[in-house]
Amino acid sequence: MTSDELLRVSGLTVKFLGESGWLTAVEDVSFSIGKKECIGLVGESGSGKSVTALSVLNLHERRTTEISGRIEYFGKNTLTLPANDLRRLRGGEIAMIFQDPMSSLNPVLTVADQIIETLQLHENISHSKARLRAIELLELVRIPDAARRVDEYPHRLSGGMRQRVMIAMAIACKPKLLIADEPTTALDVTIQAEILNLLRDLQNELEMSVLLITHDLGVIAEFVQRVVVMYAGQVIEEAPVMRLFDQPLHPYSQGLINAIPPLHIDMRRLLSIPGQLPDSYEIHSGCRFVARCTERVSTCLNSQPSLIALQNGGSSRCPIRVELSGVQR
Amino acid sequence: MNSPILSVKGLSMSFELKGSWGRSAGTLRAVDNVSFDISSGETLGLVGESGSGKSTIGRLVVGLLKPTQGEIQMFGTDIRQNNADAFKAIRRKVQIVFQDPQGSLNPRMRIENAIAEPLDISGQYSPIERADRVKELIELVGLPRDCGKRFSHEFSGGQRQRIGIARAIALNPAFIVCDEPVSALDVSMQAQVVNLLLDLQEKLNLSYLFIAHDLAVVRHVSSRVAVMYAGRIVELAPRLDLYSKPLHPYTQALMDAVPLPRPGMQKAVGVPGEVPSLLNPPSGCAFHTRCPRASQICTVDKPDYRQVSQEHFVACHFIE
Amino acid sequence: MQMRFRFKPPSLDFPLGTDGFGRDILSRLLHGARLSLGIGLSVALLSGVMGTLIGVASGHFKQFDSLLMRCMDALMAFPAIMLAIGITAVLGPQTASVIIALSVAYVPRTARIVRSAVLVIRETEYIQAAIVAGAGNARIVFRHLLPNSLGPLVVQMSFVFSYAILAEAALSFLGIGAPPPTPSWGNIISEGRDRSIEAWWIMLFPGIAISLAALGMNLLGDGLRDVLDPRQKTEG
Repeated sequence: MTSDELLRVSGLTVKFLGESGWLTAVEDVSFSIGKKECIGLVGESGSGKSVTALSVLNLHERRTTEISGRIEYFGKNTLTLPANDLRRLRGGEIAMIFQDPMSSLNPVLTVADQIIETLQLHENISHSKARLRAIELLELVRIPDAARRVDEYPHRLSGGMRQRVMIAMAIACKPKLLIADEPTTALDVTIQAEILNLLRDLQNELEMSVLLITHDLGVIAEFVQRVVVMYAGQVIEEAPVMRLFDQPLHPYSQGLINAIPPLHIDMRRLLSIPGQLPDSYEIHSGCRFVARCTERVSTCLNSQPSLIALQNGGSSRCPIRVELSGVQR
Repeated sequence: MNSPILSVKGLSMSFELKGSWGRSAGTLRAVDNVSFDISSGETLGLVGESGSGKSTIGRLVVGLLKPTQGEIQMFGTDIRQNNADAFKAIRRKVQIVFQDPQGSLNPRMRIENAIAEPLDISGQYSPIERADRVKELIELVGLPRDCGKRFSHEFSGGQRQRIGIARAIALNPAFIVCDEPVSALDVSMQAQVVNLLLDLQEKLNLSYLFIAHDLAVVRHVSSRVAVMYAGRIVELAPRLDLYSKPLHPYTQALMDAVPLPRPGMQKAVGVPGEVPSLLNPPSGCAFHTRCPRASQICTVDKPDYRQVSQEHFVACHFIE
Repeated sequence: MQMRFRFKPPSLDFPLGTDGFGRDILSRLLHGARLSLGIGLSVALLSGVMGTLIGVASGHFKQFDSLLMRCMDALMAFPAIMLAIGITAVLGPQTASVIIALSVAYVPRTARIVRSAVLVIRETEYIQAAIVAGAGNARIVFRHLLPNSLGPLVVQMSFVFSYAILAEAALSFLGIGAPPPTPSWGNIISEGRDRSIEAWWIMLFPGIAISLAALGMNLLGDGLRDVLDPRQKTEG
């Protein structure tokens, strides 16, 4: 791990025990997050992006999950940390916010109670000082009338407000890395923009790194510096955000970008990716995207392509596109 | 201009909330004096965020809810007929596609039965006709031919939406309310289902009321678009006009808030404040608490819903 | 019945011992099984059907809801055994009265569970789709509400079966169940009460039988619920 790296995921593979045996949700995923960097993890349902995010803080059910690989944070592998160290890490140096603020906040505790609880878990701080800090945090996340709002119960707050409270709890202990799992998906678009702007400002102020998980490429384009695209449990492309939209080096990335209905242009029909995510891709040997790919050739059916590292940063799992683009390996 | 298939006039829907011991806990005005027409073969897009009332309108139009005030006319007749047979006849011509691919299908029914349910209810199909029609519908929506015997949980979200659409077109309706039909789908599935809806519209000469919160999706299916806020229509215009020259401040704010998939371009701009409470709406214009152009008159007077040019309507004090 | 075999402990001749009248416990147990299991099943079915009727009427038709649920609440206020005692006192101590009494006692629980299930299902979009397609109440109830309430209903009925067997045993123990000399598991336990220390086998074996029956039924209920889950089914 270089000195500029904060987190390095290497060869992460996650399997779940279901009714019909073990299912591989994530396979051999690797990427790194630098200090003060914003990385986007993009994919559709079934891509494994959320599973990957939950693995960083080892949040899976132990009995029914098999995880292999390494997730290194300052030299320690979070997947094998002893319980106490892991607990200290969670909410401390690495924080996480989720999609649905209603179920992430305890409905029978006030906002103050919950923030104070987080603070006291990580710092030696008195109740009254923690309460003052809670109000400060609410102001930091731009909740108006914070001194009064701090004593409210979650159900009296709107979705946007609750998300801000979640963010306040997450940044309470000044984390170095914030993992945001679809933080704005459940919000109205006008509120979403506010929350994204808030996250961007906080990221600058607190000099945090952010791992943003989403399926919304618009949010990705606005917010992150580098993108990791996942499909069927694998990383299929990694690129700086400009290049991803300019010159996607995998047909799936291209398909995703094309499928977005443009707001300012008229189109007769939308461009879609044919077919759908196959039920089980563990059986056949070729590229996992082959059934839906319009650019496939015979070799795609036979061998599973590996991730090709590119000279100017990034990677792609499509040797055809890489070849055609002329980008150096 | 042929007479409209659907004509909604002065539609209002209020819910009385009950507190403890049956006391009234206030009135929730979900829809406030809404009017619009939809012609044959046309799609009206209805856009709004949570609490705008758009879903309530959808349910009112298909008869799932009874309006507190106002008139809904289908093919020139008021749908609130006392005559049960007439109501049934009208009802067959209007169907609905729902948002949730999971909840919109009975998990215990094989999908061929789910699709055939409207046929069974009408009682006008013999078993052979029924089987043929179901096969036809399955093909029309692009599902694999022999999947009729399967259960809904064996299909993906996008496929389940197709099944819901097959059910909706079973009785050859003239008009379909699409209540956020693609909001719960991934973007690639979304594109597929939108294309399907467009194809079916052409093939079967359908009209749609397309309800959504995503302005970009609505653009590609609608000929006219209505924007709702706090139960009222604040702007209604033909598609090109709305997207190139939005007049109402809320419409403009909505467009500016969409993050564009082009890095390095201008960033999305949010709207401060919160969605207004429908129990206790702001005085005057409901948007005044968040509107960059709000002034004194906006806090006092509700703006009229006025026609400002051919087919373009706006409810704002500053637009003439 | 042979008096010289009174209170014999378990042996090769009498595998589960004998009771105060020299009767073989094992055969009494087997005879009693028919009664006890029969009562359990009847009560489960009867209360299941009545509970479902009330639960569906309550959940689907708002106008009946308050009235029916208040009646159920009133019924639930009485412990099942007390209710059973009251009803058998009126109807006389026969097997039929035990069945009726226990069924009535357990209807409210089943009704509540079915009502909850119905209330949830009513809000789903597939019901709304059916309504928009023109479905009448009968179709909604039989095609949609009932099939989807089966899961919790089946589990509840298996519980009721267990409660009923236990309750019948208690009633017999108290002397108000099936009249002697008809063997029922509760009867046998009751007869063994006085010699519970020296002739421990008289109370023990029927007790084990009751526990096993209750456990077995619960497992069966769980299994049935899984089998009925459409997610387990695939095409054809």
